[in-house]
Amino acid sequence: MHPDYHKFEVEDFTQDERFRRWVIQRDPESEAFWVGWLAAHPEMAGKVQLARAFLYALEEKNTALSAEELTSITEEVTEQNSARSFWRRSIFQIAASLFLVAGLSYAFWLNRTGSAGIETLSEISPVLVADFEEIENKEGQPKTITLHDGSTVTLYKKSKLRYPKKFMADQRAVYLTGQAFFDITKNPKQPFWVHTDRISTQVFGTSFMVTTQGENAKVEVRSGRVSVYTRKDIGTARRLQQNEAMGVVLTANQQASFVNKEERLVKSVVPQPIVLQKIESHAYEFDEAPISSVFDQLERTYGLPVIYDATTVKNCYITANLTDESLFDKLNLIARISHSNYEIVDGQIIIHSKGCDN
Amino acid sequence: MAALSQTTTDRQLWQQLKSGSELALGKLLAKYFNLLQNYGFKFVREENFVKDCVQEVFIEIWNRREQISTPESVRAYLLSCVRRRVLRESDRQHIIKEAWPVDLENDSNFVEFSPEWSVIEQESLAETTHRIADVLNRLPKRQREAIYLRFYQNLERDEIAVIMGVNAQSVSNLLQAAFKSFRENWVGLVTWVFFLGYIVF
Repeated sequence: MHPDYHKFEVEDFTQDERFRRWVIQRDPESEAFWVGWLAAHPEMAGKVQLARAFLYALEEKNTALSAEELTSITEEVTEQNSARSFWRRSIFQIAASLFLVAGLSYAFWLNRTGSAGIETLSEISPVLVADFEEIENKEGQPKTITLHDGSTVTLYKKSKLRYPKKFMADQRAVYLTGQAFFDITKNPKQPFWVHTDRISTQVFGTSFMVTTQGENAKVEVRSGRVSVYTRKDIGTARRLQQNEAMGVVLTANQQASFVNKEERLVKSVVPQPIVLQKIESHAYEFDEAPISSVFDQLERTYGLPVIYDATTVKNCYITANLTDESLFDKLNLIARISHSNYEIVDGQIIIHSKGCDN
Repeated sequence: MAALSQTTTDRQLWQQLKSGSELALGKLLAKYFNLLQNYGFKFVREENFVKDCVQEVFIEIWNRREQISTPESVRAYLLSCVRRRVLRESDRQHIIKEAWPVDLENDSNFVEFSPEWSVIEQESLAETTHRIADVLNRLPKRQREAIYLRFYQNLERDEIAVIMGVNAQSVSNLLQAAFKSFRENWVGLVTWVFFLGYIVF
C-alpha cells in the first residue's frame, strides 16, 4: 500500500520517504518503483520532474559514500581512542619526541601536586578545590577528555588533570601535572587557563601541548596564540594588584620552556614545526629565485618570523627543490647554498649572511 | 505520521547507542552520514575536510555517549553539530570558505548552489535543475539555508530554528520571504507557482 501519489503536489513528493530514497539515496528498488509508477501515470511526469530537479539543485553534488565505506567509518569511530586523529594531524610526532626527554620520576611530581596542592589551587581558582573532577592517566594510551565547553584534552600517560565540574563565568581554569595536548574552543569572554606548578598558560581558542617535568615545564603551540606566565609573576601581579603580568606570547610553531633554575621562560621554536599554510605543489621548487623570496615564503608556510638583512642578500639566488624537507633541513640547505647560517632567537629565525657578491 | 515514527526510531537508536551498542551507532551513521556531509559541503567546499568533520562528530558522540542526553530530534542535533564543527574547524585551520569570509556571528557562510550537471543523466532534468539553482541563488543566504534544510533535509520548522539559532517564527518568515521572491523570479511554470501557493506554514 502506498499513498495516493496521483494526488501529490511537488512538495509532497520532496517529503515522501520512498521518493527521497530514490532521488537522494539512489536506492535501485525505489527507482524501479517510481519508473513503473510514472509509466502508469504519465500526467504526473511534470511534477515528479520538478520535485527531482528541486532536490538535485539543493544537493548539488553526490558525495555519498558506499555502505562498505560507512561500515569501515563506524569501525574507526568505535575503535579509535583518539590516537588515530592525532596521527593524522601529525601532532603525535611532537608528542613522541617529548616522551624521550623523560627526567624526574613520576612519583616525585605526582607527590608535588599533592603537597604543593591545596593552597595554590584555591588561589588559582576556588572551583578547583570546591567542586572538581580529577582524571589520571596511568596507562600507556593517551586518553581524551571532552570538557563541557567542548574543548578536548588528550592526557598522556602518568599525567593528571583537574578541572571544575562547572567553569566560572569569567574564566575556564584547569590544573595539569604531566603532559597533555589541549584543543580549546574559542570563547573570548571566557579565556581558558592551564595552570601547572610553576607556569600558567592563557588561551582564547587554539591547540597546544603542555608538559611538566618536575619543576620544569614546556608549552608548544600548534595553532592560534597563547600567553604563558610564570606562576611567580602572576602571584606578584596579583599582590601588587596589577592587571598584567610579564608573560611570553606564543604563536603557532613556537614554544616556551620554563627552567626552574633560571626561573624564567625561554621562547623558542618547536622541535618539528608543521606547515601552517597549504603549499602549492611546486612552490618549493626554486629556479634562480632571489633568496629573500624564499625566506618570505618560509615565513608564511611556518608562521615563524624570518629576520634577514635585505641589502646583504640582494644578490643571493637559489636553485633547489626543497619540497620534502622539514623546516630545519630547508634552512640548513639554504645556509649551505648561500654561505650563511641561522639561529633561533626568541622564537624567530635569524639569518646571518655574508652576501653573495663574489 | 511517517515523521513521528521516524523520530521515535531515531530516539530508540540513540538510547541503544548510549548503552554502548555499536550496531545502533552503525545504523545512525549509515542513515545520516551522507546527508551530514552534504550539509557540511554547503559551508566548505572541501570533501575530505567535511568528511573528517562529520566523522569527528560521531567520534565525539561515541566517546561522550554516557553524558549526552537523547536529543528531541536526532537529525537536527546531528546537523547542528556538523554545522558548528565545520565552521569552527575551518576557522581554526584557516581553510578558506567558498566565496564568503568567515563570520561565525552572522552565520553567513552558506554557499551558492552549483549542481554538477554531469551526474544528472537526463538533459531536460539537468536544465530544470540548473534553472531552479539559479532562482535559489538569488535568495539571501539565510533564506537559502532555510529552504535547503526544509526540503533537502526534510526538517520541520522547529528543527530548522534550533540549527540556525533563531526562533520558529523567524524560520517561517525566512521561508515565506523565500517563497515570495521565488515566485517572483520563477516565471512561466504554472505547476511551480501552484506548488508554492500550496505551502502554508
